[in-house]
Amino acid sequence: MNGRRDVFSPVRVILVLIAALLSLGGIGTAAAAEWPARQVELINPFAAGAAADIQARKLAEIISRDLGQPMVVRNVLGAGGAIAYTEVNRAKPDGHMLIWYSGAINTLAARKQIAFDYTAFEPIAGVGIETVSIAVAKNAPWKDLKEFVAYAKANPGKVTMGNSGMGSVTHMVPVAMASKAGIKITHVPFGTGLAMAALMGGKIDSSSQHPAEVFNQVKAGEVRILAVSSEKRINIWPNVPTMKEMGVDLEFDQWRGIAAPKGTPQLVVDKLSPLVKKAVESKEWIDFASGLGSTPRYLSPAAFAKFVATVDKETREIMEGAGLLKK
Amino acid sequence: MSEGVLSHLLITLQPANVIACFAGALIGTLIGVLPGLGPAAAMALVIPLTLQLGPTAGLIMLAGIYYGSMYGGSTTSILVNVPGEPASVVTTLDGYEMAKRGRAGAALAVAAIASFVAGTFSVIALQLFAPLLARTALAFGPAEYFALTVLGVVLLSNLTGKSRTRSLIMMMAGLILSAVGMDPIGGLERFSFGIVSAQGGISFIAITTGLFGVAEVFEVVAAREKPVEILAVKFRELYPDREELKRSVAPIARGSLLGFLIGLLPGPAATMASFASYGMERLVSHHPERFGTGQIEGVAGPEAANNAASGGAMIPLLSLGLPFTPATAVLLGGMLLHGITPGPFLLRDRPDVFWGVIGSFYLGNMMLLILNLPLVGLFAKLVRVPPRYLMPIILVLCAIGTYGDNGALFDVWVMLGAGVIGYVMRKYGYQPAPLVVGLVLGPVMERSFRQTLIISGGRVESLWESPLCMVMWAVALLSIVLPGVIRLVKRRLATR
Repeated sequence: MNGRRDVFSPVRVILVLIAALLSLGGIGTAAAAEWPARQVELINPFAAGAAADIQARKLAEIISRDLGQPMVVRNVLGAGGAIAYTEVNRAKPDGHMLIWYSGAINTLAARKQIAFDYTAFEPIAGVGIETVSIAVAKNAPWKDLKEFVAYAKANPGKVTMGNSGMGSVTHMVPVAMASKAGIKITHVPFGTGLAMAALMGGKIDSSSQHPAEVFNQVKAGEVRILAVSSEKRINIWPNVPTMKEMGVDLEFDQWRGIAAPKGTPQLVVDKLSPLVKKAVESKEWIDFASGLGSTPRYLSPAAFAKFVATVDKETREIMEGAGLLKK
Repeated sequence: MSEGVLSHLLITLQPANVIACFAGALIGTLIGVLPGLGPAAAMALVIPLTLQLGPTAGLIMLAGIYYGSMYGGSTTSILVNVPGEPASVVTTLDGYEMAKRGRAGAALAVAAIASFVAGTFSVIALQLFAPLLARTALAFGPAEYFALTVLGVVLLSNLTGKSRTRSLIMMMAGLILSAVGMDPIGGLERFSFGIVSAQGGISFIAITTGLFGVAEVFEVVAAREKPVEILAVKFRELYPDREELKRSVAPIARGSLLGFLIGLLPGPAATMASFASYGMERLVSHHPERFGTGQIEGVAGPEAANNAASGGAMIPLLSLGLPFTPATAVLLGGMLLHGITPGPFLLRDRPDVFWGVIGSFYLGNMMLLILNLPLVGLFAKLVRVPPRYLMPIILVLCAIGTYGDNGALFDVWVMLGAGVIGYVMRKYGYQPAPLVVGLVLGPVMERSFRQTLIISGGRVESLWESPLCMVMWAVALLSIVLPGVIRLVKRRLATR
């Protein structure tokens, strides 16, 4: 009994907590030659508990097994990710602070919410893509996306669609969809989870989100998915068509990966990239990620860099069309 | 059926789960005691550890941190005027006054008992009414939230009962402060002056820690000329007397119910619940003018309310799979990592997890009571530490907590600035509590107002069209007009 009391003694727990707080501040320096010299921080711009967050945590856990040092996820919230990106951009490029990279870099830069763009980061590895799904309430009058589009065409601006925030990928997709289909819909920004409650409560007509934020409700029969924005149908919803199948010529996904500040030694990229590849291609990750409706897809640093640049151009085009681009 | 439930509930009593429950409750208490680091952040830190424990024990531990933090939050509020959690801000009003009068032990004990009763009440309600209540929560859309926040501003504007004008000034200051940073709808930057840390808004933790904790430190430092009174605490004074306990019963009952209902709604439920309960206690009290001078009702009600709210917030999570608060979002994340999907089918698919977690709520609440009551004596003695040692420690804890929240030095400067302003405010009789209310309600108010208008295409009527909205607007209007009318009628009667 005594031994157990010692382990959980308040003083000890306080000390551990203080140590944790100090390590959060990134105290201690070491040369990059022996990377990783200490724990590697993966800065996550998304809220704890969100789909993006749990994927980051799971991936970090798998990578940590081979890394020799723990990879720790830290949430840096606010301003749609601008604060997190700015923090990593300013960090010492020694490979001990990385960013959980995603489409936010494209939209933030296009809206000039950060003073830099994707060129300020060293891509390490692409991890996968996550589609955007259009949901309606179970008793909505539209059978499929075609009917939805036809109704929206006849009633411009009348259909409301929730998203997880202005300028987010879940906002970009409906904006692009509307412009391709020649319809006008009213976009309503919500926080994650709250759009779903509003949809189920009948306050909005439809909502746009990643599968992980809605698959519970789909399973429960509360909401239906009209279409997904990816190239192919996704594993968890084999019966849900893509937008292309429904006659809307759009293919646009959220993407995820890991990047470091520009100037990070090549050694870090060379060492980490294969570890990410191993993790992303492991059965454990594939099962986990596809269970959340995400599509694992490893990209090498070079391929990843090209991919991000292409998406950046597409994002700017969509935003320009919607009047969201800041010059 | 009931036998199955019982056997599942007993899962909680397996040794590994009991230890997980205890560890979670203990970590939660400490998180609550330390200002800054909140339950959501702490739970996120512990998630990797829970992965090794397996789903049931892992989730029991996460849940333990979640409700444990609500217990601990009141401790520093009462002892040193530093709210450990946003939800404990209101406890400073009367709790700290009680401590100054040498009744810290009584306040702490009542807070622990209130937390226990409310925690247990909310689990029972959760177990009985979860699916039914989850549907009710969905009736609240943007328009209803807006009406609710307006009602909150009106009812809580006179929270401390000093000067209504001053309270309103403070509330407006809070609402204005909440507008700093990127706006929640359009994504435009406001009042951030190019400071990156300000883009995400002014940190709530920094403001409350500064206004309450740091300002108190300044106050004590400035008063050093006066002999510092250290009240000798006798053992029997460590615990509440019969009268204090009797006076706590009704507030705990009211706080439990109110907190549970508010907990069902999205937004900063626990914080709103504790403020609402304080307002309610003042409203029903025969001596509202005594609030703020160390009334046990002002501790019992809010402490019950914030614990009940954390139970209520579990309902949308468990029965709809929708997290309405940051802490339940982390809990959802934890579940998904363990391969468990909360929602209508959780009970059917994984009864062991569902009942294991519910059972741990009962057990954890009991553990927390047993853990906290003996600590009361220890904590109460803290007040007797000479201020020249205690105050620097408090200042350091405030700074660490504020920094640890976001890892931004900017927040520490905000905290110190708020401390100076808070000190000046006290000197001129301005209460910081209404400012905190404004800061909490501001973002919800703005977002829901703009969402309502976007959805309706700019029709102002949409703000009061639903029956629920109408009721809330009517109550808000009445509570503004009624006191004046009553006064007028009384004067007429008197002159006749």
